[in-house]
Amino acid sequence: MADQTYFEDVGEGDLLPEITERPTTTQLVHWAAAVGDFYPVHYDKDFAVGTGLPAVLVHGPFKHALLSRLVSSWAGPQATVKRISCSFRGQDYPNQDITVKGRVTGTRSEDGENLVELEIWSENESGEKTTPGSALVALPARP
Amino acid sequence: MATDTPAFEPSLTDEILALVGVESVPCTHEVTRPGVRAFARAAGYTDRVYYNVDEAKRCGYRDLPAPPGHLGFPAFDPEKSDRLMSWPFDPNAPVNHPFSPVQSIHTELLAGSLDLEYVDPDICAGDVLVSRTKLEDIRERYSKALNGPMVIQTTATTFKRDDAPVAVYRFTLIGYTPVEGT
Repeated sequence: MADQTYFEDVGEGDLLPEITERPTTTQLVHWAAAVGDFYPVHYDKDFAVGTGLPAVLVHGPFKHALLSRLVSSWAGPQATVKRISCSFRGQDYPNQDITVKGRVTGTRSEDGENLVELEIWSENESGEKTTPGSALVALPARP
Repeated sequence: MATDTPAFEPSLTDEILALVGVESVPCTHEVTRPGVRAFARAAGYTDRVYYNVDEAKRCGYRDLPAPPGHLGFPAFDPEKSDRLMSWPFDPNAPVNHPFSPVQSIHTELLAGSLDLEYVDPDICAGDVLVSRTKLEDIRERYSKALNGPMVIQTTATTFKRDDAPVAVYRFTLIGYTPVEGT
């Protein structure tokens, strides 16, 4: 089971441990089957090229899931993920590194919850932010 | 005021624009153990809590917990489901799922943004969720990158369990038709 992050130990500017994935087309097929998205631009190269793309595309919601994993893995099992949002600004392709990163942008206690706001994003191998976003999690207080 | 935006034939009719606010028929999503494992595996989770029921229960979950972003799998019906997106699709219904109506306007689709807000994130294998998708916004503009018009639509899909909201999945989708030479 993952480690737990406590509210008292979090401060603005803290960086989340980043995660790098290098999705293969096999992993994209896993994803397609897991969510039921069989749009061929994600696994059929001829189809993708026919639409003007250089290769098959990594699914946008897959990158949302990577960002969710970044947040939930950092926050720990007793945390509550309340919101995860992102925009798909740049395209990512298989067999290229996608690194998801995040940092704390604010903390507050509200209605009995210890809330932490996060800026989250993914970067491609060139360091370009292809998927900027934000998240809100509720963390437990240190016992 | 002068503009360098080329003119294009709009594809959004008054009938389509009038669909803003229209809600789909309900869709059933089953959260299953194989489904949780498949999602967790595809997203790269290695925590055994998503794979092993004993470990999940030892950690206080009712069953395998759904990783963030997993809201079950649309119950497939060979007579009613969309072949590509697995959700129910009724060609006579104006709004079906997060991919309609733009799916019927343009041939190609790109994800624009995804905003997942949980009301009750305690979702585990064995749960049955029911969703309804509402078209929140649809507009059209010229894209220099695509060298043609594109339609941008936003849908909000509300997931409920036992009639109580558990999550809202807000998805922006871009539809376009490739122009030769771009």
